[in-house]
Amino acid sequence: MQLTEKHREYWSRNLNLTAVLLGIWFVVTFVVIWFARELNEIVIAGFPFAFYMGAQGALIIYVVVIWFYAKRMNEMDLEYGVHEGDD
Amino acid sequence: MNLKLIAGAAALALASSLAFAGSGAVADEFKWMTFAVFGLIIGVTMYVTYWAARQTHSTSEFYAAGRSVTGVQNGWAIAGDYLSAASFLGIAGLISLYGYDGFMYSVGWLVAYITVLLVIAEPCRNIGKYTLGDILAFRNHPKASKTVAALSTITVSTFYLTAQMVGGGVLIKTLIGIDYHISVIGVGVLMLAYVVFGGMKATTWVQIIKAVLLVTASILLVLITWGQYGFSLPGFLTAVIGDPKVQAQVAKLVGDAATTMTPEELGQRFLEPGLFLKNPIDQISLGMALVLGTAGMPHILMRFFTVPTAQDARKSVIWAMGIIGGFYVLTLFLGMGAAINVGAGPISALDKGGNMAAPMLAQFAGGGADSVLGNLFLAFVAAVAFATIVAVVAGLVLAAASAMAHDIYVGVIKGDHASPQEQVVAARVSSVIVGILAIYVGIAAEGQNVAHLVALAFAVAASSNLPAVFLTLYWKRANTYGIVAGMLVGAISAILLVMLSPNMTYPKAVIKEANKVLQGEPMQPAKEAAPARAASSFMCELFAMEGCVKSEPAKAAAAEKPAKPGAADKLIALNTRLATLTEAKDIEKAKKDIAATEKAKAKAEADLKKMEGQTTSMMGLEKPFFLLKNPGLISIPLGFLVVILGSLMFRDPRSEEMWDELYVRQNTGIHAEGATAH
Repeated sequence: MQLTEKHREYWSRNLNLTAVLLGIWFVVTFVVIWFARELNEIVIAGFPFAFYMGAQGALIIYVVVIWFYAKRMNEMDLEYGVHEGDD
Repeated sequence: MNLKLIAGAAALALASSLAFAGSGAVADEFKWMTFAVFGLIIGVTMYVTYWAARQTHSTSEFYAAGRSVTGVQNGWAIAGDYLSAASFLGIAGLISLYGYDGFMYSVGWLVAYITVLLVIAEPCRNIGKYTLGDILAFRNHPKASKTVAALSTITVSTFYLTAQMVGGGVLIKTLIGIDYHISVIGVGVLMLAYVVFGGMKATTWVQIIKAVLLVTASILLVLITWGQYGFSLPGFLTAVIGDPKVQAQVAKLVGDAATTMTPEELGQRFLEPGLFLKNPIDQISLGMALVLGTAGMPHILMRFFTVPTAQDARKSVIWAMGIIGGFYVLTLFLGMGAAINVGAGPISALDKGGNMAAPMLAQFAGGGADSVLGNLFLAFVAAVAFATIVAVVAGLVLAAASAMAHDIYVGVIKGDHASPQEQVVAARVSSVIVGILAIYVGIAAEGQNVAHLVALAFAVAASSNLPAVFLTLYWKRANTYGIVAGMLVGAISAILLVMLSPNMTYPKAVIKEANKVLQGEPMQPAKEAAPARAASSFMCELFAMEGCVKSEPAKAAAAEKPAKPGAADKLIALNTRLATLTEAKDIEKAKKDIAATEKAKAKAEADLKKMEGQTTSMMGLEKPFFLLKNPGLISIPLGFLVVILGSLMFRDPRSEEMWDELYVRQNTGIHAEGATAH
């Protein structure tokens, strides 16, 4: 199969999307844990910030990251005509 | 014939468990309930296997369920694969014992999934067929890359499989008291029935059933536990902080520092980091292996070959993340609920790692150890745990068997010229071989500490599979030479480092500990406070080398510690005291102390006997040379480095030619197997 200009564009947009989302993942996971003690100065309703992030915040952000990736990729598939199936 | 065999396997597994039930967490008079629930779950999964077996004839049907699994179904199956017994029971347990840190540990596993899904899953699905070997063979030399990929897959699966089999045997024994050997054989026979007859389709559906049961059980437990506090989060957390059992557990964990803390401060500490994860470098190493290893786990990669389109692959990822994420929010309540309702003491008395926290909470939520409902709940959770082990083991066996049959037999030995009939037979025969091997290894490894095998499986997957897959997909220059060299170096260095690490048994240390218990310890003079000391270099944090100064945290001044008596003297003293006691409560406590001391004495004597005459570990070392428990920090970068160097040093025209084709296909899925057929 011949590699077209369109495919290259699709590929680079795909890579950019992945890189941005991995960046968010990195901040939420590692940066927050690294600074857990400092961030714990922020107290919401009697409990420290890092507790909320660990207990729920990070999980919700992960699910949103994955949901956004799937949504964008599905849209891009249609836009570049590489969509599979009928749905 | 299949139906009869399947029914036979089910009957065998159930009958053997009935016949050999001893003592466990479930009281004898309620055992029938556990077996009824077990029987029901085994019956349902066997029916599913029968149904799947009728539809499994071709290679694609056996390895990839005919690419007919929908996104939602695959999402549940991935969640099922992910929520192994270790993560389901282990994490609720860690939270119940260590609070916040237990939770961070669980999130660590979920973190891993993002990398798999974003970077690896979709391109792999688009270029792969059935195995890891297929992905690498796309642009590298097919025979060479399939051989190393199969070797690595089998290594990773065997390590993980052994840990699961041993863990499963111990778990079933602890829960309902079935003999260890019978448990391992039962798990093995059931798992073989699923895989051999139903292939990927049965394995997938068993995972789905298990995941649904697991989530249902957890939601039920959380509703009951949280309902006591009117479904208020601050209310629940305040109860955790104010609970004397939680405060006592924290006081135990923080040691001397507890004397200066108020009860509220102790409770609050349970929700803060630092109780469980101590050596940060070791944690980073383990974290790297988990995050990157998940992406190289063959049984997880295989899941993405079962869906028909890229859209379905993405959809399955969203569902899997939602289910797993939701489940972990539930484990917070399960773990903390167990900490306040059951208490850390009874939990760690049944199992030191805390694995019994969720089952014990279930029993409590239903009304306690003597109630019918409590035992029904316990039976249900026990059955779910059992189904979990069987299902995860089935997935692993399928992965190892496909590496053997598809990569080695069909790809390398037959040079890809095998009739469809022959391929399916090869797949089934390999499954039986791997399954029997798993049962054998499970029995042989009885009583061994297998926790490091899980870490090792992830470390090998991260150091060997991941660099090869990642660079094949994303780096134009990657080629056969780099892939083969990198995979071998990654796997071997990971295994070797673990053999030199503190995970192994060092006779001298064991003997010293045992003698401490038996002969007591001399008086220790008071110590002055000492400031923290840094290691003399970073390498000294990793290896025990000549002239290294080990890092040590700051120490507070300690008062003089009196000499501790040996076990025999202690027993005499305890028994003398017992005779003078009158209050029922005190007598109870003294009896418990005596039982614990006797147990410790017996263990120390057994250890001494086992280690008699030995001075070095398997590798001939008196003490660990590699100081981390997990090799990831070194072996993962090494794996990547060798793939890169190997690829740069040699040229492979085919790897370069195929890049363009891979480039299109990995991201668009055009011409992906199965996609065109639908």
